[in-house]
Amino acid sequence: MMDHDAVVEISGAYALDAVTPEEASAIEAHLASCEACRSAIAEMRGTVQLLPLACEIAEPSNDLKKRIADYARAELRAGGRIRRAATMDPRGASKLRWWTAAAAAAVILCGFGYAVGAMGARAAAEKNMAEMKREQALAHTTMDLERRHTAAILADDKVVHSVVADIAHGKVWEMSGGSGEHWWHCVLAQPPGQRNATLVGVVPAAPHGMKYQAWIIHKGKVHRAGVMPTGVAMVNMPMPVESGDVVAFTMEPPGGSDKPTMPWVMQQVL
Amino acid sequence: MDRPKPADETLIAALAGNELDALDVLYDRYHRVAFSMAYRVLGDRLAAEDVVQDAFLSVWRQARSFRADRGSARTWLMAIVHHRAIDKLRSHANMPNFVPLEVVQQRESDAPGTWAQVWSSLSGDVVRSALEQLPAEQKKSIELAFFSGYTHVEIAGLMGVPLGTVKGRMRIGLQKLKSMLDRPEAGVTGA
Repeated sequence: MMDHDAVVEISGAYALDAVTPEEASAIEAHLASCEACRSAIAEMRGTVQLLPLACEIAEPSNDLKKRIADYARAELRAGGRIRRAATMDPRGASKLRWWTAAAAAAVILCGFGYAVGAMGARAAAEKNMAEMKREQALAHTTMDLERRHTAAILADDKVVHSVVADIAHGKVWEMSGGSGEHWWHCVLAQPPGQRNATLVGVVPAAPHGMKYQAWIIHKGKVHRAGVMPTGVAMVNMPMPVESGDVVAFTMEPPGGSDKPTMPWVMQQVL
Repeated sequence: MDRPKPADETLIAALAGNELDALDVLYDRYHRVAFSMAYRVLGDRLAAEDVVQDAFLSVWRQARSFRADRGSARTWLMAIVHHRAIDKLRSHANMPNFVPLEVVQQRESDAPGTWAQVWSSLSGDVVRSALEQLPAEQKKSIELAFFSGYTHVEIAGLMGVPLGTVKGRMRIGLQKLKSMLDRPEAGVTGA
């Protein structure tokens, strides 16, 4: 534990979160018994909380609000608990939870299959859907109530159709890659007559300390396309895509990288 | 007659009940300041949008764990944005992250009340102006800590001054800032 004078001296740094975890623990041990320091630090934290107002105002892109709402709605439709399940360690006891997440991906993918029936994917999608439902039925015997509820929602064709309704009859590219418990599958969908595209899938937890990052390779130049959140993902591509472009994924540090630093996990020529 | 705007805490309660319209209202209310801070920290629009998206979704997912007695919803949201942005920045710089990415818990010391009111009554100009009026070394120390995620030890190294000097600059700088913002009409001239 730090003594009173040492805590007073470092209080500004603590209020700014500019101390190490060890220092923070020592400070907090002192705060538990020092009202004066608690009060002083609470005031400083109050001031720190005003600092965001000092930033020059900047506006995000117009579609960010929709992106957040779409993502939340897709996650809610998929049962709401999917993301949490998929972020858990996919080994051991959580395997079934990961399977449920994978089921969500498959059902959504099947939904896309329906949507682009004109492209010949309907039959395969229906077959996948039937297989998934059979597997879900088997899984019910070991699922707990929460997972069963999730599976029921996922099996609802209406939900699937509503997810894909706005891009029906457009183009869809399917991708899969990775290995073992890190294998995953997603689709890139482009509404008819548009160059914007949306990536949909259930992204498994990447190995510890890593995230999957998407890239668009356009005319030989690699562009960042965002770090994929773990779980049910519905991500709008940040730039238009066209035939001949490549969408690819690597594993990168959680904050993403400016350029790919790891081998491709999967890639798809559009 | 206009309907009264729902309080932030009402919106969080609605989110806890999966009423996603509340997320739109919360976004309309805070996306600008959230994005501005993330952009200031990261200097990259795409990365800043990722952080803001992640923060709003985190608020939705964790709405059930929100405790109004520990702090305001706005403080909570902004704390998430700040920590995620700094984590992202430190990851890019290959520096250790001090706050786990998964959850930014509300802290006991994020007290609601007075500062929530101050927050809503102050303009960005006033806060910027107060920051500008600090001695340059104090301002720099606070900015390096808050917007760039450096520890006091790292800042001492960057600025080539003893550790005690940096701690003092942070503490005294925050105290002066509070004093100016307590009475903005006396010490700060908003642009």
